[in-house]
Amino acid sequence: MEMLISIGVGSIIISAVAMLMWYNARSLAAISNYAELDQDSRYALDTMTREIRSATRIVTYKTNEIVLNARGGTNNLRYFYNAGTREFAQFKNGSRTTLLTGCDEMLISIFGRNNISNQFSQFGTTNAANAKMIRFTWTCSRDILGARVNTESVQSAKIVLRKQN
Amino acid sequence: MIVQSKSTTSESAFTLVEALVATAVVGIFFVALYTGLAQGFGIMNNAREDLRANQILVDKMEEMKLYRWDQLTSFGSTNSFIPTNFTEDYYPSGTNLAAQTTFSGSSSTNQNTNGNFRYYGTVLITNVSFTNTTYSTNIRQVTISVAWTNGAKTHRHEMTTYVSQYGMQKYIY
Repeated sequence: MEMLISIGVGSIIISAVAMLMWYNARSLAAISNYAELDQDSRYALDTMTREIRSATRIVTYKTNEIVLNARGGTNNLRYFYNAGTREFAQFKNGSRTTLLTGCDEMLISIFGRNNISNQFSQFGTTNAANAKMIRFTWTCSRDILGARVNTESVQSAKIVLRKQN
Repeated sequence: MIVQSKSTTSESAFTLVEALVATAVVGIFFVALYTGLAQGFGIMNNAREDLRANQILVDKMEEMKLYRWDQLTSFGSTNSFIPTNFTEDYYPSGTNLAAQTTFSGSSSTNQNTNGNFRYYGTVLITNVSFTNTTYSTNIRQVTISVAWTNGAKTHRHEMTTYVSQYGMQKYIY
């Protein structure tokens, strides 16, 4: 009888410890994921902001791709989101740099130079020649111990082109 | 004659009180550990909310670059071009996540119709505090703040900058 009770109590304790360890491992993985995602997002944003601020105009635009003239060049700065590989990359003078991986969604929008009265927003445009501001919105995620759960990072950023010709 | 001695001591087992105390100690240990982890998640969620709040502030400051000087100075008048209030959601509009019903991890009391976590922003444009320069009338101070409530606690972030009529080059040599 005592043996049975001991085995029962021991099983409960071992189960609780195992569950706690599993929960702890998931928590640590989630925290690591968030930190990594935020770090990647900041790096991507810093890189894009630096390059786009020096751009003179947008050449072509799609919701997942944008090509600009930058630093005196022509068509030499391109950003492209590949939904298949979930990667967002920068192509600068033919050199490719992966800015984001595990990117579930990337939405590029362009806006004109005129603000909408009393709305704190700008007139959207599809004509690259009229664009003065670019908005990037993306969400990236990571798996936790092999399972896709809610570890996502959301980022939205607007960048105004300083010069336009 | 063989005498069999029968032990009456209780050395071979724990008493009920000992077992209960041990269980209580283990219980306290687990509760403390779980509370620590839960608080860790809470802190992480606060960090995510802070990060998004900062993104919104930087976005709005970036938009300020597109306003003309007369639009900026009309702030607060009857024909004010720049609004005094705005709202932004945690998941930006236009994205797939904007339609999701809850903000993961946070128990927010302020949500939009989809249940998306919402920030409430205010804008304030004033004259600058320094008046001992010739160009002080050509500069405005812009302050943008966002507030949000998570549970019973209200959070607020604020960003302030100066906007000049002719850019920095005219005033700083």
